Amino acid sequence: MARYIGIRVLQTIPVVLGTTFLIYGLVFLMPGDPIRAMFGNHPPSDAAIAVIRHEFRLDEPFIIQYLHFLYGALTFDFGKTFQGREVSDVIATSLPITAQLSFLAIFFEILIGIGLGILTGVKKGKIFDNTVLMSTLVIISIPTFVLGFVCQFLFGVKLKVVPTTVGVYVDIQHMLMPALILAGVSVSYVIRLTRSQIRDNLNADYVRTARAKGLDNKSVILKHVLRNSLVPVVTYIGADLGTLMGGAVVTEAVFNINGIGHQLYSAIAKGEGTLVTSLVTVLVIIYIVANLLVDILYAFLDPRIRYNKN
Amino acid sequence: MKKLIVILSSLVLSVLSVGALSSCGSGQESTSDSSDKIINVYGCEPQNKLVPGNTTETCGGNILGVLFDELVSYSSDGKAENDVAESITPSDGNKVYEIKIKSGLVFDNGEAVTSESFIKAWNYTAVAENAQGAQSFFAPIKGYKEVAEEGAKTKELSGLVKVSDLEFKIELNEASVTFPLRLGYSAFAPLPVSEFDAEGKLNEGFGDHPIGNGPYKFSQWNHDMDVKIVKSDTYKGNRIPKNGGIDFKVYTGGTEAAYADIQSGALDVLEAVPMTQTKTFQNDPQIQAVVSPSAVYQGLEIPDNLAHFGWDEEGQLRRAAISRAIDRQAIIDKVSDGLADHPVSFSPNSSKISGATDQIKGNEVLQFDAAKAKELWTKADAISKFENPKLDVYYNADGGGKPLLEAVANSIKANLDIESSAKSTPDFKTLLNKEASHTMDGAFRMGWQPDYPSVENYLAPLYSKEAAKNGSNYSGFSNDEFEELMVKGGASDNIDDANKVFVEAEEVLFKYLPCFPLYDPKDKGAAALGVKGMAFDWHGTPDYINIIKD
Amino acid sequence: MANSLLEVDNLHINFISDKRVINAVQGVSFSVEAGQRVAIVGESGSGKSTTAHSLINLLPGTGRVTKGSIKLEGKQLVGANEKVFVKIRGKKIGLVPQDPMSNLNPVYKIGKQVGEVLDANEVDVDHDIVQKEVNGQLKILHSDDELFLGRGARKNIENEVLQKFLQDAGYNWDKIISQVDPKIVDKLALRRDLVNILERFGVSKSDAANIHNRIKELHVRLVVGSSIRLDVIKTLQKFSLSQEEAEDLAKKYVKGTQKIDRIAGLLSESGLAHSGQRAKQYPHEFSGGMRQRALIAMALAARPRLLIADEPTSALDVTVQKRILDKINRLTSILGVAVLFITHDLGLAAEYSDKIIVMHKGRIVESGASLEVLHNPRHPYTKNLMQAAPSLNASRLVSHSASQIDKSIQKSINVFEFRNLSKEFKLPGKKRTFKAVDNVTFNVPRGKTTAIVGESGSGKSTLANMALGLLAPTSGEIIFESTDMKTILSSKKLSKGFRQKVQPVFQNPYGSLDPLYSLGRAIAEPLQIHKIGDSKSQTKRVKELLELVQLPTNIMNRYPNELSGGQRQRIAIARAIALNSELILLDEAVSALDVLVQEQILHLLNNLQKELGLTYLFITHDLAVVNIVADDVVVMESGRLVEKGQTADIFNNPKEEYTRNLLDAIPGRNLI
Repeated sequence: MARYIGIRVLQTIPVVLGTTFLIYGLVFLMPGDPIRAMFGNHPPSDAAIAVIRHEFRLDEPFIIQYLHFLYGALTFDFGKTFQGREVSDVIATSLPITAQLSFLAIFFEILIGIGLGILTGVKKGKIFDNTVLMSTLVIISIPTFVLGFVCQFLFGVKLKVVPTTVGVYVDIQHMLMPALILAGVSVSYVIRLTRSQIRDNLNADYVRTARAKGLDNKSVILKHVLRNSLVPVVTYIGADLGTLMGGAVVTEAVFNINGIGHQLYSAIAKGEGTLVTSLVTVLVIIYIVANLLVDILYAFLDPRIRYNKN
Repeated sequence: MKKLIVILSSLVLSVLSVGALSSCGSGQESTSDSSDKIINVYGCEPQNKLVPGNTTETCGGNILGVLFDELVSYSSDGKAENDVAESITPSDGNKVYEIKIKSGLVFDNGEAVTSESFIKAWNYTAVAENAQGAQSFFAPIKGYKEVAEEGAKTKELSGLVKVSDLEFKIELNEASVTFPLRLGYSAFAPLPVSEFDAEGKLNEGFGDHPIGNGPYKFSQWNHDMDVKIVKSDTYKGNRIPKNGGIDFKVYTGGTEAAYADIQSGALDVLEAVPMTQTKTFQNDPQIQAVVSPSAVYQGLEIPDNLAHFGWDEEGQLRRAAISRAIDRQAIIDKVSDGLADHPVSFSPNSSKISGATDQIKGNEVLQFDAAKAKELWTKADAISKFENPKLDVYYNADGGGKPLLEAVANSIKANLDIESSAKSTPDFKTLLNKEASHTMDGAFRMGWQPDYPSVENYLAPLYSKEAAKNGSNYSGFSNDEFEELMVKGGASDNIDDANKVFVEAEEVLFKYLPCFPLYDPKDKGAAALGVKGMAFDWHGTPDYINIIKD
Repeated sequence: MANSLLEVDNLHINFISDKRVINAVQGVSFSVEAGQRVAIVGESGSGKSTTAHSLINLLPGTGRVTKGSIKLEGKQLVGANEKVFVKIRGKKIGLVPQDPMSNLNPVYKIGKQVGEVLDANEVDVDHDIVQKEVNGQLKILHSDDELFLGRGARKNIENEVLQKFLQDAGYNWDKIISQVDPKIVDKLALRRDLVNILERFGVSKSDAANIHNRIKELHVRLVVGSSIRLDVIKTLQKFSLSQEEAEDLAKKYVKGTQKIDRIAGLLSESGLAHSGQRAKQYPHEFSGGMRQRALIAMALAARPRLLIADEPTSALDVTVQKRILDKINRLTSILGVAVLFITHDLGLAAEYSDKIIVMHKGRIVESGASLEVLHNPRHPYTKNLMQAAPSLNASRLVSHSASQIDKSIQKSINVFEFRNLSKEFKLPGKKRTFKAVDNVTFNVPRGKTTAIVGESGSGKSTLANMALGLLAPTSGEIIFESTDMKTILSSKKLSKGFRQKVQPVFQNPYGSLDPLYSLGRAIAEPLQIHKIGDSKSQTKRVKELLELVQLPTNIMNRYPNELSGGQRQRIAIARAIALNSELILLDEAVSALDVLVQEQILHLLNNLQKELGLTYLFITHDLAVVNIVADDVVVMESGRLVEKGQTADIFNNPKEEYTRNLLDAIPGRNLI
């Protein structure tokens, strides 16, 4: 297992190198001069602009810029943003916020998703089942920002039960609503997945054997059905963490959350090569780690999957 | 399995609790006195560090505007009043100005405000090597070329001469009667001398916590979160704050979220109502709507690299035709929900802007007249036929200009019967790039926010030859008559005379129409219930110092 | 008469499938006495499994008991609460299910799954449940004689026995023990180097070796978690302890066991070696036979009174099958457990049960004592089954069809000749290779059926793949009609010709037909690939082929999902003979079919062989089938060819022991 993890970690390196090169290249190729755009309609003299351009190495050929960035990255110096702030500082403040949002969303995925999935999978009552299924369908169909705005208005402005935005108040109370919105689609999927897994496994041969052994219904469900049903669900949730962290842009905008999604968006708009590439690199690494954890988790849950040589 | 769930849950909860710990305190003040209250206002992350000479956008500009006090400040009706300056005395036909500074004024660190404070700051900004964004504001001053060029050796403007601790002289390249009007812009702020090193370079960390001399002093900056400033207890200028401080809350996703916060009371002041709310905000019982005329100019610019749209007679006819074909009032009613005025000149027709008037010959070209438009167009075709006539209009997709320009394109198409559609570039910098490189293949929206309340500021920076080289003249317009008039205006004896000359300059513009006004938008803002005193200054910025809440 | 253990009276069971009501069981009545072995025999769809599952209320899906009664020990079960069934499952009635892989939860260790039975039924882990005849009735005693042997207890007993052996041989135990390293003293008897240790302390080599061997034998006989005190006493006496000594020792140490040891003991009881280690493994690490043993252990763990064995060996090799069924029989007779044995194999039923019940389409058509039913079947259906069961028949099928071969064409005597054929696979991550086929030599004569017989892992499938040209041999040659296969495969033209001449029919009738192809198209495909005729003549040929395999020609436009297993195999056969091939390779082609259907297919194949002069290479694990279809037999084991010869010779005079074991394993063979 250790060897397997080692190989996976090593595989990260070419992926990161390739991605940074690609992203850096894409930003470089974007039309528009980011330096000139900084000044809108009040540009300073060409000489002044040249100084700024030089400071950010934008007057050098692409490959030199890229190599310089790479070299800096190895020493954990990711350069500065156009504003003059350290890129590592930007990441250090926004990453934890996105992480908290994502973790909270995952928490809801587990709680609501698996919980309702179990209930609908086990109970055969039509009304409850149909209500839940319809709701999941509705939530999947509504775009996140619509859902976000509607909930923000309904629960934040009108009913005043939750705060309308997060902003500087990065805590559970303020992140509750955004996390629910962010988790919306995933929760719906988890409910359905859990439900179908449980339904399938309820009819599995080994479940019948368990009953034949004399286990009562509750034990059968908790010990046999649940355990096997949750394997694909847990692995999905694990993989979702990576997706959530990178894809929360819309939710962050609606609820004013200073996370990575927003940072990335504004960096792209401004044409900030180093910031974009650094942020994307962080996201790539998160993705890879999340996937690795999922694979390890999967091996842990399903003894048929083992990564040893034997 | 249970174990697994327990482990996962505790992992998740532990991460969350870190978040809870790191944001203790809700920031709500518990003092009872309204003069000590902190006002939460809409903010955005400043593009650069908080250095007055390097700030040309409103996110940073709004903050710096109340952290620093300049030689003059503007009253709410756009009149410039001496503030730090005791007196500003022109001489040599408005080419030289003698500045006398009030005594006893200090910075937040106790340091005195002297002529050195100004001279060192202005020199620093003007020198190209320092790469300061507001450098071009010092272009009128003698010696600018020497410091602003490539490979400049000098680091001081020869036109700035210290006379004494509280007196200094400014010599301009050309006479400008409006120069004192400009001195209220934050680029002209003084900086503490102690923040400069022996070579005249500003301390690097200054922008992280600026030391100013304004109504408020800097308290804290949490990047992308908020900027906190509090009432200065050493301030002795014109703008004494009525509240205890301002908390600029940064909204990363735009004004939508901010509006929701106004409704719920989490935010006190919002200076720009989002497009989704412009129809309804005036009837929204959960907010207080604030509407007033703005100083922003909105026009449509047609660059001369487009065939048939040159500066000759054909081009003039066509431009006039386009202008006539646009039903501005209908657009104002439909797209702006009536929250704009019909334009009459090249500046908004506001009493707050010195020299604004509607008595300009040729401005009838702004009146909608489809028949006249067609007539002009046909006359142009007689000179040189425009096969497959079309004029596309461009906007940047991240700026919200789509409905406006679609309406403009439709108006042109419907009333002039030529091809016209609204096209977009993905973002602002792409649009700017095309404009600056003169590669636009259509007309584009042109907006302008003034730096000082004079009509001159809507003309020179947009249509002069200098602006074509180094500024915001993207139309390619280069007209001697206009140049002469601008110089003549600047050289007038007084403001009123100057304004009369500027009217003549506008008449030239109405003839050629390098750009023509589309509409005069109003400033639209919102304040939470219980907040008093929210109003826009001449500039469109909330009048922070006068806002109070219970 | 005292109450039977199980009394089923006029049982009716329904299913609802696609909105239709299916009467799966219609009025079935039978009884099972305590300790009796009853087999229910029938084909798929006869209702035998359904009946069995209804006894513990584990009918799948929409199954319902609509009429009739089921009485267990006099108590009515029909209409009872689920709670009642939970109580009797495991404790009163145990179930050994059919498919050993899908019936074990893949994510839990085997030991844990066995332990569940103990927990769910609150089984006393210290005592076994043994029934003894007391005053003419079977009673469950709960005395100390039923206490299980614990791990520590065994260690102690062995040490004491070691002491006795040494003392009996004249050595001074105390002197020896005082010199032994105190750390290993109490594990002395278990040590592998016991001989060395004893020698060091003056014990002669022969004595030490002798004692060590006897201790090892004792170790095997004393099963932790399974041997009860009574067993221990008996065993010890076999090792020359007196009754008194044995009883003393047993009473001193045998005091019950822990759950983990009991689990290991249960697994040992069902024949699993190294049960302690095996209990820590997962189902996927077990072979099919091992899994079935685990399931047996689970079914018997709570010492039920009735064991339902639902086709427990249909997924296993024939020799494993014999061992498993023998084990079930032995265990159940020791424990006094009645067995309800569900099977489709009449031979098996006869061999392993006292009473046979034959079911057909939900009804009982015949029942009686096994041998009686076997020798004097009364109902015509039973007679059909008897005739069709290959294990109960002695001779080669003879076809009465007319031969259509053109005898004038000269062809080679042997269609295939395999010479020193070997195939090695390189195992991932390991240095050595795996020899799937090891130096096999034999011929396949034309016009005859050659059977390759072997259990799983024998290499017969690998051989088949090489014969089809799908795998390249590592060494050796394959000669096809006098040409080396290597030459054939390297030439495009020759390979195509080869493909035309050799066609396969595979085991799984549900997998070999593309569900999206119409049947006509499936049969015509070979014709299309080899570009034989135009579409009109192809259609004509398809019709001909369908007639040959005795299917209605209008079936051409239907799809595989509309057919039964037997019908699909016919289609596969039709497809295989479409090209007038020389040789048909039948890889377990009838193994998945019911016995009556199987019989029909075998007859069909036989007739086709006569009519078309086909040569068959028949690969199977079922020796009984071999007996009635093959002219020549090749027996393989672990890649090697064990024995070959004509069928009659092999069956009547097997030379190799392996062959003999295989023959012994044919159920019912010895009964006829």
